[in-house]
Amino acid sequence: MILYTITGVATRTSSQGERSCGLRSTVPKLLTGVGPRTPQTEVAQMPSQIVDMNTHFGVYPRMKADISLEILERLIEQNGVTRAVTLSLKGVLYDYVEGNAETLRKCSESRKLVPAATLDPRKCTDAVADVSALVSRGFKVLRLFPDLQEWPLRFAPVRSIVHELHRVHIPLMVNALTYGVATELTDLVGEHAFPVILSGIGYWVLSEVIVLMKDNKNTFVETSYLDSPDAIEVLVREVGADRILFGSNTPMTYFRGPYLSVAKADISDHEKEMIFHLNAEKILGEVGE
Amino acid sequence: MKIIDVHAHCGEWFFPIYMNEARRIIGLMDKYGVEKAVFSSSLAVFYDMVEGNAQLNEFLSGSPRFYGYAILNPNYMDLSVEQIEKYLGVQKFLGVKIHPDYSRKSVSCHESVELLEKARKLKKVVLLHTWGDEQIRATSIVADTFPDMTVIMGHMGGDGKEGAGWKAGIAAAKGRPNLYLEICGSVLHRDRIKEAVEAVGDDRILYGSDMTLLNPSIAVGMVEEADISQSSKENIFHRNAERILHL
Repeated sequence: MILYTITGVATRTSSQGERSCGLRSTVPKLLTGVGPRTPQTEVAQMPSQIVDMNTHFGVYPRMKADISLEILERLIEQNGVTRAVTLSLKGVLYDYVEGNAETLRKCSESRKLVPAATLDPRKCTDAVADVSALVSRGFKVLRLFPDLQEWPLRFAPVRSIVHELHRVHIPLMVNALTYGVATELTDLVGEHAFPVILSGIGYWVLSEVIVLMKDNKNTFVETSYLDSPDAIEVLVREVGADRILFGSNTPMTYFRGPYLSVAKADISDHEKEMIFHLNAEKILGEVGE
Repeated sequence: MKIIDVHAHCGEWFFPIYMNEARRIIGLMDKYGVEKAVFSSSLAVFYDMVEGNAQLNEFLSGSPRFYGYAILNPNYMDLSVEQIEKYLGVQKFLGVKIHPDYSRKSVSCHESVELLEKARKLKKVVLLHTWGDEQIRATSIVADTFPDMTVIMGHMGGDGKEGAGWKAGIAAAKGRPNLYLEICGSVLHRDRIKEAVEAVGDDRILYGSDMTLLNPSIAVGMVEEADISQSSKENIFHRNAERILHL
């Protein structure tokens, strides 16, 4: 079984000079399709755009891996990604205040990078202040990492954070790799008006996620770990293409596998466009509107 | 590019995966350019070796592109020997596979070694599911015990937390010329293939997908994206398999 992931989600900030929160208005419309530039397995219809909801950059002390910002930017370019939602792992593995600041700073230097925020419930004692600060700085998605930080969902600081998200209505993206995490999260969140994006979902928790998504219309799934051969088709059939967001988990893991899983799925071209960018644009664009 | 998949499955899964029809599997192979694939039966792995291998035998007759591994279960020695005698003479059975997680028996235990010795005498390859340090050690013992047998380390040793598994798998293969690394997994760290090629060379790495549990997109994408030469990619995708499996 799979034990961990590094995933990502997020937004655009007003401090970057972008117009309000409208990702839709900031994504350049391309006339031709995009996608990996290296000639490889044939894809009949390239998506017109790709918004990658799950990227990261920084240093990974637990394993030798080059996940620098330079590598991320190179991979984004090579693979035709229009926008990449990203965050610094400094905020996940060290200090979320410093990490969020670094995320904002680096994303302000690149038109393609969209900053994601994170909080660490092990340190967060004032969710009202922390979440308000993120919103005021322009973050529009919050990511939490129970797998990497090893805290349980049944944890008072998490409850406070979720309570605050009800107030500000920004999307929450959570790694839910193991049995029961997604269920506990959904129980914790309850009836929610804000989007909850489940990340790190592989074949082993697919039934759990489908059942949850049927009952919670504001729950979404990110694709980077969807590894069974018909996972995309099954999800489209069971919950609809409008609930699936493309993500790659690059640069820690390869981009091309998750890309091919969607690009070559037996679904319509429009459904692929929804997964590759339209759904993300909608979720990110709606924040703050 | 031509692809030969040395790690595939037919049968059902206890997950929402609906690929257990030959025509769907052929469709999946066509989608990713997989010319031939070597299957084992999920029924034989998880539950009943005898019924599963029989189903596989029938399945293999469904396409000239299908080949097979007979599953052996070292808890059932007499039946396993029967499986070897029954299937390893069949042309489309290219080898045997042992999955230690479901038999709860190490591939290097006395019983497994006894079974593998019989496969070796028939000049068949062996695919060993290998996940984590303990199983890497066991697979290495098998490779050392049978230096003239081709031993395939499934999953390159695994894709566990922080690269645990595949890095140790590469290290184990380094000094063992009969030990081959099969690449599939779910969480595929971006330098996995490059590190393997640099450590053991591109002639002992084999494309495998774990379909129909996993989407071939994962392993195909990994090799295509890997920062290695086109020639190395061709070796991994098909040449090495053609050589060791005589395909």
